[in-house]
Amino acid sequence: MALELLAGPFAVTDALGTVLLPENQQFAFYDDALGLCSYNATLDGYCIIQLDGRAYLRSNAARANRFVVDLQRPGEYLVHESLDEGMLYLFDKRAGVFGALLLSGGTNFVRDIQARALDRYLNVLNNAVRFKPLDNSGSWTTEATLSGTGSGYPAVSRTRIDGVLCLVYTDGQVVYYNVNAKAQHAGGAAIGANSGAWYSPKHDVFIALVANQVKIFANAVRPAALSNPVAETPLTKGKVSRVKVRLTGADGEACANELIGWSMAGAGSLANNQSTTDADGWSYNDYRAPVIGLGSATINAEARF
Amino acid sequence: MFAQNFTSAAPPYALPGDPSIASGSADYHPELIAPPRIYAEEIQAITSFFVNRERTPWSDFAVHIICQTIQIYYPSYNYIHWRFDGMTGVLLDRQIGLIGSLYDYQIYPSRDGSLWRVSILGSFFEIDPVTLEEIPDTRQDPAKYGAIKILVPLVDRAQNLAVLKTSSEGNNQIGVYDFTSGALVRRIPLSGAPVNIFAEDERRCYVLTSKNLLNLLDYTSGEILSTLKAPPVEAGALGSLLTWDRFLRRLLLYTWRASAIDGACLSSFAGFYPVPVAIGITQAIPLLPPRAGRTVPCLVRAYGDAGEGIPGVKFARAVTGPAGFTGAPPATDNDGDAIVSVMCAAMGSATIDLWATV
Repeated sequence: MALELLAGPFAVTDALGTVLLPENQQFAFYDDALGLCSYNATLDGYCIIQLDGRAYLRSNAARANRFVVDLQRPGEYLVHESLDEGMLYLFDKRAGVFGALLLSGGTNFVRDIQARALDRYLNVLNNAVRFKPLDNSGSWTTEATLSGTGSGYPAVSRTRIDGVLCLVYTDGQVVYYNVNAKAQHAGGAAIGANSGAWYSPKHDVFIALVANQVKIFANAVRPAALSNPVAETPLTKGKVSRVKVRLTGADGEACANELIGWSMAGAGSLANNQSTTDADGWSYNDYRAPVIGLGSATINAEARF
Repeated sequence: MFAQNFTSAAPPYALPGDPSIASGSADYHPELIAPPRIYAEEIQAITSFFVNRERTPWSDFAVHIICQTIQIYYPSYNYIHWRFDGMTGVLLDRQIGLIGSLYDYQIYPSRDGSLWRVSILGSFFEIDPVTLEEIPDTRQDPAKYGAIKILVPLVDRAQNLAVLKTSSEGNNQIGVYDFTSGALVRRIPLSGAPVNIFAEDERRCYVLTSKNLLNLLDYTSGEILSTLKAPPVEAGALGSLLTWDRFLRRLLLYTWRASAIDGACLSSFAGFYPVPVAIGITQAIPLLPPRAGRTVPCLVRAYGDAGEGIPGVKFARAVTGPAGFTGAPPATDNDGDAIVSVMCAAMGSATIDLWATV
């Protein structure tokens, strides 16, 4: 499901236009209240990157640290002390500063924590969703196996559904995971190779970092092919027949909510000049065949994008 | 960025022979009176900048600036203490001479309006608001707070707290201490290394950090309430100092500038309300794929110079091409986001122009 690019790529720059290379993947996150938050060495701290790439310093920081989606506090995050990955803190996203210490251990003690649920920590590696208890004891244990994933650690973000996380892999696959049900959630997409990508619940788009550029993708499949019109019911003199077309993406996936233009030549008439595809990519129209007379009719459907 | 609402006049330097500093022969700093320069003194460093309650002909508070100067007379340097009316910015007077000792540095107003001064030797102490001399038995030894030096102080006697940047805090931290016992209450991480502190009300203070970011803290709870960029120091400035005007609740920025060609003082202070204003808007980002016949919401964001969204910004708009706007002109929400709805009438490309006046 290749999603449609809405805007970008926008180079990430400072206020003077100097191109920056922000940290990515777990070292960044997108938040609707803030923008894209990432460490940048040139700005010497955490910066807020607008969707068109302009970055401003929010706080001084010595190094990039990994962020953790915190499902215990709506809209909030935790942060690793990534110098040796031994400690986990609350993170004040508005001020860009560490809060209270949550976990402390030896080197790499918190290394793989990507999300905190109500009852456990979560990590996703390749297609395996793994957990540890909230005291972070023991080893990671697989609680679910996902399909349609990419490889490596995905970027984790919230969705519009409580408890459902969006996982975006660097090779472009997008899958969803229900933390409460401990099962894969329906849906999936592809946004192409990236160095970190996150879902925006407020705007229903994906924000991707690709090296030092920002791209915004629609949560909608880019159309690639439109089927020929076919009649659902036989075309009969004096009768109305339903005709349909299907709009699909490059991998045959349905394109929903797209506009289809209809036209025809020959005998008869169409009920509508325009219709919209449904969730399965189908769009319908009614053809009225003449009562009398002979001849043929040609029905055309067109999608423009 | 904050909205600037006030600018003071630059106080005049003294001319040679001015009775306020003419105390010897003009043996020092001949460059100050080398034509076309005519003034006998020039700022060399800003020592203190603060607001104090005192009766003036126009109001009941005054703005104080203390600077170290170089001068043409013995002993070649001096200290000038300028006093301005708090409401009008009119220069009230100037006093000459060192107050305190050479070890005494910046003066910090505290929550109750008392003035405290740090010593380069590590302690801090309360000063008399009229004479600016040290009040006996108020000196706070850093050892009381488990430190070897106190760099930035704020005293809240009413809650028996001292908000301090001491040598014991981490780089980007400030400490809250029990003022009586010196016991540490909490440390608060900040957006940078604290360099100045201003009491805002009975529990909140602004902390200016080394990155020119301003954190508004509730020091009783440890919560950071907002992070904004402090007024920027203008290009070419030789130095600056920020303070808080608790009477008009505004930030004051004193800017030390290079003198005029004749040596006249050009340094002055400006006032800013601590309400951020937008410095830019993003490009309009369509949130749905544009299609002929579709109304497409486009996202635009107004932001300040810490990247923060600015609410309440109203946009004007224009479109060229086969498209038109639907709905009323947008205004930004609490995240600084606004949605512009564009009806795509036909195939082709359309250009959306958005602008806002702040």
